[in-house]
Amino acid sequence: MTGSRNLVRPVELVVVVVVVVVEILLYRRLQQGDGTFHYFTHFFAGASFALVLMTLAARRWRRPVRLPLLAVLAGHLFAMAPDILYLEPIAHTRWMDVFVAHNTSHFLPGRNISWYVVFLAAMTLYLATAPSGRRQDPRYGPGPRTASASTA
Amino acid sequence: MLGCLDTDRHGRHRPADRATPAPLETAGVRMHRSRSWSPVPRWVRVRVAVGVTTAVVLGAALTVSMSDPDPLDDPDLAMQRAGILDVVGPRSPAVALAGTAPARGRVAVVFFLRPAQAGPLVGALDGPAGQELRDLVDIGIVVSSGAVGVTPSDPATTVVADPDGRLATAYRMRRPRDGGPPVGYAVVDVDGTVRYRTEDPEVAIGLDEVLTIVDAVR
Repeated sequence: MTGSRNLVRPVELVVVVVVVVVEILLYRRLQQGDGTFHYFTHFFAGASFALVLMTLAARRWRRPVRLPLLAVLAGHLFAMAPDILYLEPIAHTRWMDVFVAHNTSHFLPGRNISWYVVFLAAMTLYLATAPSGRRQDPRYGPGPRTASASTA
Repeated sequence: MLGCLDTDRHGRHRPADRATPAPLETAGVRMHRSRSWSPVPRWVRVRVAVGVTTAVVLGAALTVSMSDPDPLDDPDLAMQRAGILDVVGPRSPAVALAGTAPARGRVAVVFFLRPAQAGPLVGALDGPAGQELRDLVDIGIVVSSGAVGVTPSDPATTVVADPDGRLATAYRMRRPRDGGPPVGYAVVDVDGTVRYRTEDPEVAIGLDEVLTIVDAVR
């Protein structure tokens, strides 16, 4: 069927598999250290951070972010970078809050449930506001190619 | 295939003969032709499906992770194994366990354990990480009851019983979820100030992490 064949590109499928595998490995690694609480905190915080940046990028360039799951994974890894350093071993210090509030993010009232809500809000923001990819979508005006064609 | 796109899936412009037909104007509502007509564009439906699926999957995973807590965990997991000094509880002077321990001028680690966890810790202190820890710091073991049966191989290790919880309170250790005596440790700096405290039910297999905190205090 034509529609289902083009719904997901092969590269997107590979990215989905890679992201899911990496996330499972991270979860299992933190689960061994009894750190699933930390996993979810930094996942939601990092993913929310990435989604906000993705929203800004999508509006700036008037198209959805390519490979959004990869951006979400990057946000997660950035947020949990101090935990990777912790294995080296380097204890956390206050300056590590530059990694999406790595230390203070744990103390958000409501803890991980609140971060889940923040993540849902960030995801909704991106999905609701990112352009559809249609260059001539009337909401976003003509795309660059259309504009150059009209001036020519 | 999205029936309303006039760029291909790589974002390239389509030739005119393959581009989307012009939108229809019906009763003041702009619509596009598509193979399966719906008042909601397909990209909107796809995004709603992605959003709902993600919310359900992650919500379920979060719920499962919170559904079976360890009774020895801190009721607030943010306070457990924070990995940073001076965050969980204020700095406070360390109370002497017995005699002069913990001694001024030396970093000390004071373990707070129940009898069931004391045996594995004593065994772990004879392992590589435990020996490194013993070389670096003074070690105290506070057992909630039955301290007589706790006999570390290193005679320099101080072992005391704390049946009434006085020492645990003095070190401002947090209570586990089950409300019983704490299972974790406190790290005391060279000035005799408690800089780190945490619940850690699996401390016997996690002495590497204790070493990380000790390095930060030193």
